[in-house]
Amino acid sequence: MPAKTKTLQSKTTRRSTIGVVLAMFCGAVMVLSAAGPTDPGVRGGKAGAGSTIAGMTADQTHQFPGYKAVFIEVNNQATNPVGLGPGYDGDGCQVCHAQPAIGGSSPAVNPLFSVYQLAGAQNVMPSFISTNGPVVNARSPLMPDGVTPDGHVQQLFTITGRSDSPGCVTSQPNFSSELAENNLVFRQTTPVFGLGLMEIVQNSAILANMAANASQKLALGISGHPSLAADGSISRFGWKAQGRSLILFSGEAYNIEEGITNELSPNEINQTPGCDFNSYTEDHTNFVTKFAAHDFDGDPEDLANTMRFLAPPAPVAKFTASELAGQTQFNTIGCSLCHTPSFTTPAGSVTALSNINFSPFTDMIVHHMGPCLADGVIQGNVMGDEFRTAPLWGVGQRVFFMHDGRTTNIVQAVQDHSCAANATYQASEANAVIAAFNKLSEPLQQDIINYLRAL
Amino acid sequence: MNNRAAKSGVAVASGVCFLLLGVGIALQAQTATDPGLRPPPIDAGNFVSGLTSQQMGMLPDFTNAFNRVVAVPNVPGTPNPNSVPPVFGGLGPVFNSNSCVSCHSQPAAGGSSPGPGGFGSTTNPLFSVYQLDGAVNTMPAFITTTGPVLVPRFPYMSDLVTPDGQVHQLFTIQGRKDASGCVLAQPNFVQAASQNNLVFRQPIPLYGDGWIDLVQDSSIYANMNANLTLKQQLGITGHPNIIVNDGSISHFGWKAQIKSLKEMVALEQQVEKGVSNVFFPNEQNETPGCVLNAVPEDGDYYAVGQSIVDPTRDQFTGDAQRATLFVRFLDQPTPAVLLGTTNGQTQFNNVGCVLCHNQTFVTPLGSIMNNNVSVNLFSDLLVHHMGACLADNIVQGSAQGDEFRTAPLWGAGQRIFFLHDGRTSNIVTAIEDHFCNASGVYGPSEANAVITAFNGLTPGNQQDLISFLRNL
Repeated sequence: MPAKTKTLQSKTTRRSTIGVVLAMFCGAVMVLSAAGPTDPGVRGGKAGAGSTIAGMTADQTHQFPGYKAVFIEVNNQATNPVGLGPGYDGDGCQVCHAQPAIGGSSPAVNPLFSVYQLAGAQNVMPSFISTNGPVVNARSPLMPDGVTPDGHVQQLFTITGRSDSPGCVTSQPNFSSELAENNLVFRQTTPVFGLGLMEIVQNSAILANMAANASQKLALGISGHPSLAADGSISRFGWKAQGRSLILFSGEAYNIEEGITNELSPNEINQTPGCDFNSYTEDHTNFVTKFAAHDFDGDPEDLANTMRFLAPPAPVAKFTASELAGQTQFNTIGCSLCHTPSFTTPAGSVTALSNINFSPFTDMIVHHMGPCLADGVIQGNVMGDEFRTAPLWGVGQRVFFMHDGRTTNIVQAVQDHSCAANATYQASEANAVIAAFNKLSEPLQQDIINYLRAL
Repeated sequence: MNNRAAKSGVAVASGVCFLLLGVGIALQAQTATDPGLRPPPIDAGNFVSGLTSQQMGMLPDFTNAFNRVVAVPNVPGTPNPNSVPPVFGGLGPVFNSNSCVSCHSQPAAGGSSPGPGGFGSTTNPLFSVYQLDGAVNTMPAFITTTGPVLVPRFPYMSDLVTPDGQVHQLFTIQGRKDASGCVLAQPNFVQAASQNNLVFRQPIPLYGDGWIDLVQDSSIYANMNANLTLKQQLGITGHPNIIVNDGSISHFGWKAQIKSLKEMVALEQQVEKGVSNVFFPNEQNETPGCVLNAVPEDGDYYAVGQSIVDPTRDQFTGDAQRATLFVRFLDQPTPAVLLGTTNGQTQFNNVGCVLCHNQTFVTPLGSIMNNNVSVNLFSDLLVHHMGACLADNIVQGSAQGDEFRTAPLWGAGQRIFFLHDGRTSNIVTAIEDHFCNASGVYGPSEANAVITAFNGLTPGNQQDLISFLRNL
């Protein structure tokens, strides 16, 4: 069994647990960080995200509210918009994609508490969901036999008891048992701003960036590789880069998170008899509508276009001296070797996305992060301790960090990249870079933190 | 076992398999013979019943998307400068063919590979594609005028160790008059063949895929768990190919590697024609000078109520979605006999073919399809170990190198080529090819006991079984 991180404990306990783990793996780090830089916290002021990208055509601008309406709609089981459940995590995309604007990441106050017993639903809130914690979904890395790989999302809630779901009796997964078995891992909401640009970056550009600075990467222990999609291209969305395109990602997420079957994910995940009230698929091509183009191909297309046209997060208007110094250090110590500062899109058939230089701060490939972060879930050619380099754009206004949202402290998030090998997994590829960070003077460390919070 | 040893193991096992086959063919000479393609009437190609007037009205548009021959340039065909036009181009830089229908045509549009004795083209369609418009491709040796359309894959990377498994497209756009400046060589198939690193898959007929799309996971599991004792006695196991993210069962492709019909059509548009689309947005080969269009080539159409074909019709989606709708509405093939009434089917059931080639699933309530339709596909939609003789050494999802989805048999009576790589046109040989002893790498085929039982039938019963298959 790979090492697991649990959010079962209270926050305080969890911090101290992490502290112990980190002290074991990198004791020196914690000594430094006790007197080290501090996280200024979520950047205040105007949200740096949520508007549409520049350069849209009149048609696209005209259509966008229709796309976004699907992103923000609250879905029901029986009445329009139809299709919630039988299993679900939330009832609308915007519920969890909320910070600092619609399309973003998990908000500071957990929205699941206003969802889980809505309309009479009888759900119990799992212990790992807390009012001040992140929205996370849950996966069991292994089947009940403890050997066979699993890893699919086990939806938090069911429609049992909802007034629009009479007769449906289906229980929530037995999360306490999975926790006791050390067989439950979590992933938090990823923001979707600017993804239209990431979507069309050429595979060759990603590979060229991967091959760049090879000797420096080798010296620092950084390798990384692409997650491969069905057509052999580079898959790039999601914590393990398991999603190739916005529409494929939307179709899957629509069913996983809200339980809405659609033409890309035609089966209910929970197939308890008596709980599938609707025809298949719940969301589908709409042949009736003429001229309302955004209704024709079903909701995943609308969700994809919402994401496609949401502009990348904007950093602060002007970096301070400290933030500029931090940018230099970020590059110097090697953070930028994985958190690639910029890519350029190729000629795009959507003009607004064509030949655009943008700054996602990710190389869009996956890296070994060691047992401390490993979730033991294998997806395609991405192993249990591998994760996609998380894009850092907009990180200044995010509340929770790392794939499972284990910390709200961005300094801690930096340190959490460091991890020694164990019997199952190799050491984190970030170790040398984190060691370099810890060797910096405290003001320079603070500069990096300030720079990150300015993004 | 190292890779080289593994490969020689495969080679030895194949040799054994061919010897066994020799025996099988010897038997077959005395017993069952393949009557060959069932003559017309054509058993497939109709649309499902119960379509709405709106759906009917759009069928020509969906059909066009399936039949459309694409060239390289994405020619703007609309007077509206703000419109991304429906794709009419996008071929390449690498491709296998230039339309869906070219390879999915037997016995009608949506079907399998054309070939000798077929109802449309009787020759391999790739010969009219490979040097079209000045392309300078040479025809790989494994593509023959009388053979099936095949898509090549390399199981391993050039180091012959690292798994590959991707399609390596037959052709490139180099030399085409609409692709000036592109210099791009075809893959070195001769070398791959000499390294024993070349495998093939033929086109799968698409009839009834709209129904397969809706078969519920619970139905597949219920069927998997039926007749367990009998299956165990016969050595039959099988398992679903699972999508990790949602835990659902993947339904489509030779290894059940593709989850939904829509994703499959989009994937094929990209892999076979090289037309990038919203599902797979980048070109598969990005050699400088050969990426001649903005991506994705088949994009969304954002203009409202603007159509160069019919201004009253919604033109929002690209060809991938429209071709999907063509396939979705293609009905299942019609057998020439009433199912459940022939001795051949009784024998098919008695020897155990039906344990994997499960006759019927019933669809759930449909939102744009009819309710509770009996889908007579003759597949369990699971993957099974077929042994080294059929193994292609490609791992896809939870399907291993010797595992394949039980091929649906509906329409087999009017198919020309059989098994994943189209290795035979003789349906009796196709049955015998299900038999394979264990090798150093792979276990025995799960079908061995059933094929042995088939070989133990009287010649009359064998022939009836063959006739039943040719009546599907």
